[in-house]
Amino acid sequence: MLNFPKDLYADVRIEEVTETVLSYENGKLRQNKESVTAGAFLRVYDGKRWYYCATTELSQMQRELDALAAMAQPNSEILTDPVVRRFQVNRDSILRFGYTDLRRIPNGEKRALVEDYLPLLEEVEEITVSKARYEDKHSLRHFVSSLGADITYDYQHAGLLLGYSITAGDGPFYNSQRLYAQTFEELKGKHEKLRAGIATDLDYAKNAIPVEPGIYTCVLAPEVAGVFAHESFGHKSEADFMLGSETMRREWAIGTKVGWEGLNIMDSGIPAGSGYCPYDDEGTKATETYLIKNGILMGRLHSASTAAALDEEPTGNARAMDFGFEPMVRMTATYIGGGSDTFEELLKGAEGGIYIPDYNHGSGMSTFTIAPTRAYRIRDGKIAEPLRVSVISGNVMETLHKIDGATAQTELNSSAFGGCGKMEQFPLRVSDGGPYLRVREINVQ
Amino acid sequence: MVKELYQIKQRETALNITDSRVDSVRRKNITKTGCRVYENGCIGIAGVLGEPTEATWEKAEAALSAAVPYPYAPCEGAVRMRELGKITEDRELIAKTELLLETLRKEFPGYVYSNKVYSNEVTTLLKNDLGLCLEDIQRTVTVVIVVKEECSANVYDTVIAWIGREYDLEAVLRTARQILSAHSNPVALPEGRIPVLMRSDMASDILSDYLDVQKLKKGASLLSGKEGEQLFSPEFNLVASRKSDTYSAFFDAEGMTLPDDRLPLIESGILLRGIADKKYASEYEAENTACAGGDYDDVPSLDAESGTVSVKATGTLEQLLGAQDAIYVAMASGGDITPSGDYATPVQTAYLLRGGKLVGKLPELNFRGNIFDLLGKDYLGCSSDRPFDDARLLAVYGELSK
Repeated sequence: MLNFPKDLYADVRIEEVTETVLSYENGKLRQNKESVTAGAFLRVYDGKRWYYCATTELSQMQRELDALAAMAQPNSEILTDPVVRRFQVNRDSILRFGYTDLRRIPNGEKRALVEDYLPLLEEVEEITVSKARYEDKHSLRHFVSSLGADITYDYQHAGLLLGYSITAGDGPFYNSQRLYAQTFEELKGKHEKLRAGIATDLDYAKNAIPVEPGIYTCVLAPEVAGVFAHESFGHKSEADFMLGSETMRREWAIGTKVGWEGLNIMDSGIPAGSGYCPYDDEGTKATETYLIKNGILMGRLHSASTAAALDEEPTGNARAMDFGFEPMVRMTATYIGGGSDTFEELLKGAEGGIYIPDYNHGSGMSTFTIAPTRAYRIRDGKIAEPLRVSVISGNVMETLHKIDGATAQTELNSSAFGGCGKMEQFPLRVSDGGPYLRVREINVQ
Repeated sequence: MVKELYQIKQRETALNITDSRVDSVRRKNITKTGCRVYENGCIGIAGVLGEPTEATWEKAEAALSAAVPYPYAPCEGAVRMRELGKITEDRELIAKTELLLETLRKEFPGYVYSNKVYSNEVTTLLKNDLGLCLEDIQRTVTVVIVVKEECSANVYDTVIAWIGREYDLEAVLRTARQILSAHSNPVALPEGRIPVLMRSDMASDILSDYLDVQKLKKGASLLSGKEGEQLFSPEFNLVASRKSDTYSAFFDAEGMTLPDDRLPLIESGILLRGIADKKYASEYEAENTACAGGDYDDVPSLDAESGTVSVKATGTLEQLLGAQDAIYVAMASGGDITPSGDYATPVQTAYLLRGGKLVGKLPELNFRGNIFDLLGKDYLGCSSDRPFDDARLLAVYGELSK
């Protein structure tokens, strides 16, 4: 039980993480790690400045809290501070993984699972180097505040990655097949899916030809549409980027038309998956935030501080990568809503364009970028020859108007590997998704 | 059984800047310890946050039952300590940062400044009961301020990045003034062939992947089978380096060091050797290049991204360019390379360099070129100085487009 300092706001986030990492190289075990770590992040606010401490000495939290309080200036009006007034006082416990808790799975079963998949990497003689990795993570987050908030929730995932270099065509091609699950059982029996993915990569590696750089209509698969939403618009919706800029506030006024009339983009910590975040790291409950509705700007993502600065309300997006960092405005699950087209209709309207089924990485500022892993020409309404593309890019504010088709079918993609990076905090688990999406006038290199 | 302790201690103070003012102070004091035991060609590791106890060592011994192979001899006997940089007290960090921001607000009022200034002390210790005892202490001050024009709808427009062993406020201000003076003066993209200045880690990041010895030997690298060949410009040199300017410990996660803390990988454009940890050195009869990395409680493995592979400088930027104009790439995010070596990246922020000074901001552009050309016939050199950035700069010719 912590004694919170008088006339200051304070909160404490304690995180206990249990992880397993198994790695194999060319079929041989290289790592078998099981770890349990715990740490805490403490915050004190006096209405003018925040004081933070990250510590692994949980028995010394009171001492750390007192030390932070000693740096701050007591403020008898702290409860009327616009930031403090926006902190929710929730008391809740959401523990979802009792029977399927990954911590209950013996290490031997995890090894057996990976070793059951390893032969897939030996079936293709062009695979010259291979790596397999299993990772699972169970985290228990506990948040308490001087206002009385007291929240506990758990999260877990397990993932399998089969990575390989294929030596074929005009250069080595690297890619990986990945599985994400929230329970161990879900990772079993995916051999055919993984085998098909490897076969597709082999064909691509053998036959891809360099693209002629230029401006193309692109059809993005849901995974790529998701990262497009994340990079092209999600980051611009993070309200901390608007602080101090009247221009940005004016140009991003709610109600402004920012894209195609069929475009809807939402962010929410509610859906299960790697963007799941029922309460953010300031204790704000998750909600579904419409960022764009029918092409019109409807909202943005907030922490309590940014909400206070812009006179809006928190949205449950104050998130920290782990106990070593303070929360900042971050996305959770970001997705584009479905349209009314079929995939075939999208292809028919993109003659001579490029289909992008997956990606390696993306980035987003005013120019968004996506580096595709594979790409294909669209010809006669069908997916044709494979193309080597370094990067596709476009101006965010222009490109959102150049979307002109979306399928009804949507997918939300989660990952156990990697995540979103913002400034010093990488990777933060997020998810993203959407429909198949057609976008005109994309710069392809 | 051999016991080995691998410990990383981080003491950090980070100041967060929001809306051009310091709005928070964050302190970290975190110790991460990996206890390793070696026996019968296997390794057992247990990690703990904080100091290890007898129970941690017992857990490491128990981990031997997982039979993770590691048939490589632990390093023995070497004793060395290196300490670089000066302790920056929190009071100095805060006072200088507030003065920095006050100066920027006064001299360049049309911008919003945000992100972080750090003071860091990282101590890396590796010792075992074979007499090995290596300790490296790195102290740095890092300034990474993102800058947004008040009248811009961009997320941010440019960056002021600086790193040093102590907080040299005048040096940070020199960097900031160069960038911000040029930023407010839009200029057109010059016609014709012009050198482009890019962070040198653009080349080292790409090449460290190609130089992975396993990939080289198994045909999985674009450079496979090309050892001894003239692949790049005679001016191009790539080294594995643990010298002070890399800001990395002088030993790797396996305790390996380099003679004089540096080993050539590509010399005068000729591929000499790939990069290898103990495993790869043994399996592929390659020279160990002290490039093992991994988390504190990981089995050490080749870490091509450890930052220790770097381009060797060929002269100051002034010496490289002479009287030529050049384009300095301040922000290029999202680029990538195809399997055949075609590199392309959007350039979000670039400045025109004329007479050794940044004179204007260029429009957004695209940069591309094949890696063999960029570091071959189109390569001018790598700067020894860091006049506008926290990185040394490559000077290359490439294809530019709007």
